[in-house]
Amino acid sequence: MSSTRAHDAKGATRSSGWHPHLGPWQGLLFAAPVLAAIAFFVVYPLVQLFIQAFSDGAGLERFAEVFTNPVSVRALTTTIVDSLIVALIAVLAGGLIAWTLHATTRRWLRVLTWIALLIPFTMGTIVKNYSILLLLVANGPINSALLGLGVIDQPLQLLYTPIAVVYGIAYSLLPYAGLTLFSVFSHVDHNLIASAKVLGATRMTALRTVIFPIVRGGMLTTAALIFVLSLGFYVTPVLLGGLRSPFLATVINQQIFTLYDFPGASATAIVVLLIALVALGAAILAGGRNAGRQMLR
Amino acid sequence: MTDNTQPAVRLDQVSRLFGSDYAVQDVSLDVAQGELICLLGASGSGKTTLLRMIAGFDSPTSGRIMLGDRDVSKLAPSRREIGMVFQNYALFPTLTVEKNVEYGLRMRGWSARDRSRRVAEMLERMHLSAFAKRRPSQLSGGQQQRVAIARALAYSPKLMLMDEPLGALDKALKQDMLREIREVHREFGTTILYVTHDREEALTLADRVAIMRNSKLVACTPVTDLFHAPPTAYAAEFFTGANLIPVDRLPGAEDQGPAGVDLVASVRPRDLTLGVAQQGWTLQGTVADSIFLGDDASLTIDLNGLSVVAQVPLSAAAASPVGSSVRVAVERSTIHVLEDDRK
Amino acid sequence: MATQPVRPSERVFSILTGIAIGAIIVIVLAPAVLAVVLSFSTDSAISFPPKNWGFDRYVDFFTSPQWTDPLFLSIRLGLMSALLALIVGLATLIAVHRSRLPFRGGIETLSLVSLVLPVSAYAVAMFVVYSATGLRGTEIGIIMMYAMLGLPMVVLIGGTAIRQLNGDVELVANVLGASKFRAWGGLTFPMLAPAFIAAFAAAFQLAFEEAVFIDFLGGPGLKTLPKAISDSVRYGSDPVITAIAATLVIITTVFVAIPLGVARGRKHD
Repeated sequence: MSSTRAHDAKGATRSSGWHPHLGPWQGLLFAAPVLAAIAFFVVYPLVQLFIQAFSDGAGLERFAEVFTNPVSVRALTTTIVDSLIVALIAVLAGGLIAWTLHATTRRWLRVLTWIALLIPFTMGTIVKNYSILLLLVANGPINSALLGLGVIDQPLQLLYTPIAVVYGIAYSLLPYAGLTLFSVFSHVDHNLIASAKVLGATRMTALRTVIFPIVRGGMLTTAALIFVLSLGFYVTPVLLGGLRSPFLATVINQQIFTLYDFPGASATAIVVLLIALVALGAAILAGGRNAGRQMLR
Repeated sequence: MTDNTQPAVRLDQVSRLFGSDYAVQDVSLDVAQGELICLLGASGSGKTTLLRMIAGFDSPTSGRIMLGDRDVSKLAPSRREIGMVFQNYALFPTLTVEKNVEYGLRMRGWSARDRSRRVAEMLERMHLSAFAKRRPSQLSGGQQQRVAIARALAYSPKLMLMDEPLGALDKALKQDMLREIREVHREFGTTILYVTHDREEALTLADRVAIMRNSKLVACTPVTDLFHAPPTAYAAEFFTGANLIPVDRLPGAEDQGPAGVDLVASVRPRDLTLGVAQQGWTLQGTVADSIFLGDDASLTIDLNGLSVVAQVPLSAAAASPVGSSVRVAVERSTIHVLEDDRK
Repeated sequence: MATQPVRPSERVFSILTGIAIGAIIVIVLAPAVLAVVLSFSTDSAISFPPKNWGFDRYVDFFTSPQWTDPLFLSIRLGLMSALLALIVGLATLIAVHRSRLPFRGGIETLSLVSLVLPVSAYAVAMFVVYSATGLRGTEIGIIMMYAMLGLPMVVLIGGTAIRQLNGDVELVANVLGASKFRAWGGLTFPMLAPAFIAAFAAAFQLAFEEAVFIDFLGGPGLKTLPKAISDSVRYGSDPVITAIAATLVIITTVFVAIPLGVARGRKHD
């Protein structure tokens, strides 16, 4: 075996020679804008949050405040509990929608479901919440209908309740859940259920024993994503929940615009981020990297 | 053949390492001008990696690639004066057939008039004139591949590379396209390097066949020689579907082969007959399977643990159904005793 | 493929899921339908069901500067931030998918961060930064922030489309004599055009209806349409809002939902 190599044997890395892609330095040039954006719009703000929260040395007290002050504790528990409910509803409803889109053969149903899925996406944040407000208000259609049918004799208090907030957030996040689950389901072979049925299973059993294990990871990751997104919601809790159903966002709103307590708001914001981080971490550990890749495709 | 005796392609100890694994190992090969060489091998043999290096998408870790008198080892594909056809056609979906074929001419700065003349010419030769204004998505697989060939040959490259171009076509279409490629080769006289794993394509097209196995070049011989006098056992089995019988079954056969190595006798299914050998060996066995081939039948015969395939006339097959005992004649003149290099 | 239920339990299951889907569709369409219905009422105050009908509220919307000024501001900010997102996103896509930059996968993931960060926390953080750098209340500040929010759309939608491309097309172009940039500009980019249009539309939509950062980072003179609506709702609701809501629903349904649905539908079939 000849060991005379005409060119220096640098092993896998060779500096010369044409390559279909750009080199690392040229790549860096093209990545410069986004790197600058990440530095200024992600790294710098997060650092500043901590600096603000710990300004004039009272940092640790402020964090303790978040967990002891009755108002913020209430907001904390409401945020976490309601977000869990939203995640559950979004995954169930989104899963049902995504499965219908994946499995149905009726064109009209598919078009209608697509429209239903995308409508919250296309309505603006304010418009969405305003329309829901109109729906739930004391003299709105729901109360009018229930009164008219004689089910109740006094209008229900639907607004400024957890129900309103959960409805609002789930409404906004349904498209995210539906689309990611549609992505997950689209990799499920149509023939799996048919095969299971031929082998004797009912539709439900087939779904439970064959399909569910495949999509379980993706559904968990979607739930985690919805939970994290729900944690940070601002407009819906403020508009539809008011002070009776406060989220941490409501507390932040007060701290910034009413109390001018910027360090306090920073501390609260950090708590929100920490909860989100924990949730994401738990989801990654439980679902594994594959679930994330399933969704991304 | 022209009087220019310089090879169109010279590969000089070309190797490609990925980490510590060789994808291509010390391949040396000369391709004469106007030759059609088939790079034949199983998947993973390194043939595609080698082709990509000749195209310029990758550079060898060591060794040289010469096109004509130029060392192109590190040169960009655009400067190598080659044409290429892919298995998935890789036509430009946003351009019409005309504009696809014209692309290379545009890149080389041809005038508009020359371009349209040449494009019309190429479309005519590939029977695509009717589709000039169509988009690739409106064409069938075979038509798309013809566009790809027209596009590659438009500026008369000195070398054409074809990477399993018929892989995506069904059998009938493959036969038609094979004939077209032969015609194209005859008409244009371009040197062609054709990668495939299908030995029938190699049989139909090649002047010479280069067999690759496990990153090494095992043999490079003219088709007829490869068929009638295979250089190694692997080549014999892979290319001709020959039976390989260990020489201990054929006492005295080892004299016909090289000394000092494990030997095996290669004999093609057609050369095995049922009955007693006139000048050779007669082996005893049972018919395990019989496949109808039209004019002949293919019999799989179990010779005491060794399985061979014999291609015999239908009448002979009828007389020996599955399960019956038969005698297989191996004539001395039909075997090639070769080194057993199959490991 | 058989879709007929044969056993009673299966039929019950089908009916239940059918009802569930129907209920979901109704619940989702209800607010949108309500907004559209109410927009045609001419009652002085919002009441259901409307007693009078007319186009009054639409007229009010399109003729009063109180609403048309915020509308044009939102459109302008939306277009500029979507354009900025597209430019930065394009450069990012080249770095991630067509270069050998180390950690380019991580860079792609990082560029999606503004999609996942909880909005209320993110807004506080940006509030602090913008206050410190004097960007608060400036139009360029809002445009940059909105572009940052739209960037994930470009990277995500563009990235998915690039991954699905046939890589050999660019290689063939190289063999035929095109340089890398010429091949990318003349062939790859046109192939990605539909994805870029969808990404631009998504980024525009995001910026157009954005309602949180405009509160935290905005100021006088930056009254976008969402800000105008939320101010109005907070201080007593102006019925014109129903017309705005209905208009937005119809426009965005036509420009976003239908193309997206058609594109997905075609891929599915």
